[in-house]
Amino acid sequence: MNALHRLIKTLHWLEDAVLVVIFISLMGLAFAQIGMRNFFNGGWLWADTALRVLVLWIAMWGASVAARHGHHIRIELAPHYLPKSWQRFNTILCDLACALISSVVAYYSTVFVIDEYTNGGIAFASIPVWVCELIIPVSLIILAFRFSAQTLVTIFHTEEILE
Amino acid sequence: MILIAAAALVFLAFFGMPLYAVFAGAALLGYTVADVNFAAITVEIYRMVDTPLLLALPMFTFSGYLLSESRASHRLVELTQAMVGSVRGGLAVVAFVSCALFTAFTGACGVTIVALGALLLPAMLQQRYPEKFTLGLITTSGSLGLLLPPSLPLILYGIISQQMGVGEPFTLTQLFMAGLLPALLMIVVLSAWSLFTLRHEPLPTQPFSFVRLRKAIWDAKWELPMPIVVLACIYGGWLAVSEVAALVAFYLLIVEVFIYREVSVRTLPKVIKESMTMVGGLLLILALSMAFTNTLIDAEVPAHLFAWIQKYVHDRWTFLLLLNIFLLILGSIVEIFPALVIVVPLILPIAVSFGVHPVHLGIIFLANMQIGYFMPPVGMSLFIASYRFKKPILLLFKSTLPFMLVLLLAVLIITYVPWLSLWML
Repeated sequence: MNALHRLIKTLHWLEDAVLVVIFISLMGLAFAQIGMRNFFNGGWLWADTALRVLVLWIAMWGASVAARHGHHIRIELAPHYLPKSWQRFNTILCDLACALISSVVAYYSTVFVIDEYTNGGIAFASIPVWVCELIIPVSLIILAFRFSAQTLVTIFHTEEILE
Repeated sequence: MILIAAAALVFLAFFGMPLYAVFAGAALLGYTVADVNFAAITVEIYRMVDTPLLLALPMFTFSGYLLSESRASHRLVELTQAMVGSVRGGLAVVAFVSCALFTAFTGACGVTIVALGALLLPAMLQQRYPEKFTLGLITTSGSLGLLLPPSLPLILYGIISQQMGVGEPFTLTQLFMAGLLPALLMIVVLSAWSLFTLRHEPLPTQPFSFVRLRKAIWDAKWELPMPIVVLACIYGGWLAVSEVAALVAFYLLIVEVFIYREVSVRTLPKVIKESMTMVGGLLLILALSMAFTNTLIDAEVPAHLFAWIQKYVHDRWTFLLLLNIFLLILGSIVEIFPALVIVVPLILPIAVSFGVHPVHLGIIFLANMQIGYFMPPVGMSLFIASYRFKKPILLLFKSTLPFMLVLLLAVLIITYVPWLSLWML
């Protein structure tokens, strides 16, 4: 249990670190590009595309981290009116459905990216498109995994595993 | 079969399934009906890369989180108080102005009540403002400023409507300009009404102090130029909105972390993480909702909807009135971001068919949503104020009622005088 706990903690730390690194690259590159364009009349051709890809990356990675903290936006109009005993069942149902849908999207985006790998083009500089797209299946797999784990945790009352 | 699945999705949405999954499911259903390969959903998500404007979202969100982490709220209140605090009832005006400015930068996610309300409430009670009036005023101010650039909902509306490409094309700068007068109108009506209500209250006034004002300006000297630079850069057309956003984020990072030293380098990852998970959740929903919307457009749903509405509504003014009622109800049950991604794609084509300008629609939409913030049952400001000030929701709701009526008046003016939003087009 203890080793598992430590492994999860390390993974979480790594995940946060990746988010911070993507953000800093995004801000740094955006700032540098403004400087290049306005003061050196230049600006890198590849930087505009790279920036937009980084926005995609921060969005997808941020979304998968958000699931860890239950930060995903929900409407949640009805649960307030449910009796306590039903609320747990409701949580399980919603998380399970969310995990299912995420898995379907994850599966099809994986297939798509593999397809792009075999016959895709170049996004910018010498970076192929499939590398830029890779974040989509990766994040969705994490999301699918998180909501599946969350479902199991609620069913078996083992909340402490996920902190 | 499809109908059952669709009903199940709606059911799950209302019972709290994450919204991104609702839209993903809806898009997949749309593909099933139209016999499109499910892989299309990946293409839709990757389309995020086609929108250069999106960069503004993470940058401004980060700036907002950074500002609320620092003591910028203290400086802002002190500065506005030094400016108009000597007027009788001036503190009410201070509250409206400072909340509006703060919300414009932090994006109305409830921080305003926590950061500014906590300063303003004790200050106002100490000067013997009536408690009920003060509570109502602060709860109302929590969403004031939604129409001021660079508020996130404003940017989000711009992104959604530009991606749809319906009606007259417009730039984000034009949308930013459009929000100025309506926001000012709201502040003016609210202030006028407050001063009128307070006319018989025995409020103390402080003498105007030049020394105090000078000190307040000096304390805020690093942040003070920011709104001006933002407005000048955007309206002057020197930089694109996304570039201004990146510049502001970078500048604020330097100022708050290294000059004021109110946000430590150690807490920076926390700020980044909190703001970026919010952006991630939002953008994922945005991408998937656009995927779903495209299946709706392919199935000509907005056209059918328009034909159906046209049977009952014949002119623009009736349409606008019904729109107001619909948006108020919507705002009271759904929060602003979900409301934007769900409703704008459906309503925009219809509004355009009725001759409403997309920019005007955006302003009407957000002005109504702003009132939704303190409408039961889900008005976010009510809950945050109740939690923060330890007052029952019902009391807060009652105390906001007069303010709500005043704002409703402003919303009607904004709706029926399109010039307020469109004067510069």
